[in-house]
Amino acid sequence: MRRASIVGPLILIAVGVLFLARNLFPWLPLFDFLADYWPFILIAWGVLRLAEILFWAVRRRALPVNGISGGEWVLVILLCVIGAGAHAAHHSSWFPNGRMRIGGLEMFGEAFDYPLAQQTVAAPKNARIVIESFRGNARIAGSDGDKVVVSGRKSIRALKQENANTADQASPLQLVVNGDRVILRTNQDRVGDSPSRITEDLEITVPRGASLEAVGRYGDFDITDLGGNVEVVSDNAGVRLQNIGGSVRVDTRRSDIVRVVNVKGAVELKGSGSDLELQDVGGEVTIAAKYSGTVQFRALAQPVRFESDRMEFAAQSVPGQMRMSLSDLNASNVTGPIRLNARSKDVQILGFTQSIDLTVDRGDIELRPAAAVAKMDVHTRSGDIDLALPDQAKVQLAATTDRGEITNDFNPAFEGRSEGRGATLRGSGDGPRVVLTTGRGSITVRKASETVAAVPAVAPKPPAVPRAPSSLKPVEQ
Amino acid sequence: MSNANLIQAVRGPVMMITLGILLAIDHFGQFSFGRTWPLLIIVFGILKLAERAAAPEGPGYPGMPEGGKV
Repeated sequence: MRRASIVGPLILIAVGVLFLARNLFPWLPLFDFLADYWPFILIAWGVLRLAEILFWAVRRRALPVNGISGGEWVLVILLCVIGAGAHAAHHSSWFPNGRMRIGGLEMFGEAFDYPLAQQTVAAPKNARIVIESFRGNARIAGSDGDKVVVSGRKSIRALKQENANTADQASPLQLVVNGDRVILRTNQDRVGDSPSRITEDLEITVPRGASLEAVGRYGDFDITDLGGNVEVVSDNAGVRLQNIGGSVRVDTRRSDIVRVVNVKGAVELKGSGSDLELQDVGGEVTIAAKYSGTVQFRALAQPVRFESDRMEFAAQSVPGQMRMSLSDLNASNVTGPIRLNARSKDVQILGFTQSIDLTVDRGDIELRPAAAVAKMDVHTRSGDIDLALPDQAKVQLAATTDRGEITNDFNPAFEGRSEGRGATLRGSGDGPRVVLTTGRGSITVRKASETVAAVPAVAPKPPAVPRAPSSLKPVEQ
Repeated sequence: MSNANLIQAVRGPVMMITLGILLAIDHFGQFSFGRTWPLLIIVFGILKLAERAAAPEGPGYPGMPEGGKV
């Protein structure tokens, strides 16, 4: 008799270990881990089976006709479907709440509200306010006093009033002073197996000079008028910051909006989210994050670096504005050197200074440098390039398209030539080097004065930032 | 026992490893599974070809049980 495969029992053991780990160490991000790494289960399975068959072949045992039976293939397909679904859910910010909550008890029961008595402590000088893992909305505002004041309400979803009362008593709101730190504990984790049933809406007033560290898991942060540094880590939240004297660090997992307005220090953003708005930032801006919605910059005084897995952007400053979605990038009044590297984007940059180094895989490019022209390196694999130079500009031009036409409305002295299905345009002389290449698409070089819409000299005045609502909405789950 | 039998037995695991690698590349690398899936067909074809090449000559079908010596 042929012996059964070793893989079946191993898979059983692995599944058992997984569930055990989930029960013993519930804080481990097993779901996140599996959503990313599940293909390696397939690889391991295949390798084990392969090794087994080769081992049998060497031992001259009878070989199975099929290395992997029909039943196993059914399992594999099931695994692929579940894995792909988990991966998609894990990596898309539009997926509600990111995690699938099976057994949605949250939908049943009713919400019981408990007012939170106002708590006040005297804050040490240059206090650091620490908000520990917290679910709900928080509004944090600096004020002239030297006290930390917390008030708000707690909402507990439960089937019965008694359960809610027990949960309420088990999760007191604590305000603790420890050295220069003022720690706000909600103790939501103490309650039972489903901490998501408690949310809190807090209004927190702190001394104006304080700095802040906040960790949230669900709900919005609204932070205004703080003199110190602000650090926010959140799984799932809108983060709005305004009038911050220090530097700002925000790490989000699935936020619908990150809005940072009027910051004196540096801004550092990580993680992922949907929309991003940055305005009036005095320090450097470093972004290593993915945003699936719209990204807007306005009046950034210092160098900006933006990196995600799909694109890279760097500029010396953005005195004007820049607006970017998944498919477009529009900017005006940007100080270079500018570097942009993107996969698929239509790019329009108007009124930039200094050099530009621009590479996109697919997309049309429209460039209008400001009065002074510097070195330009512009490449696209597929897309049109439209360059409008100031009338008197002197450049060394080298434009090439592998498939398409080149129109020269700038300087009749430039030498144009057709080569096969493509074309080149060369212009020698003194002046900075301008290199334009496209694999497929037309190139137009023209005079800025003859283009239809002139570059606006000053960026349009940004609209006023909407005020935060005066009262907080409860979190909707 | 011929090599053809071995190759046929190995086919399933090799396909599974390929599938796993393509999906891993999809998650971590440059190429989406939507672009790389034809590799599955290519690997399958190569394995079939190898099986055919390893099969004994003559009438019959690949993987046909061999007769014992008289």
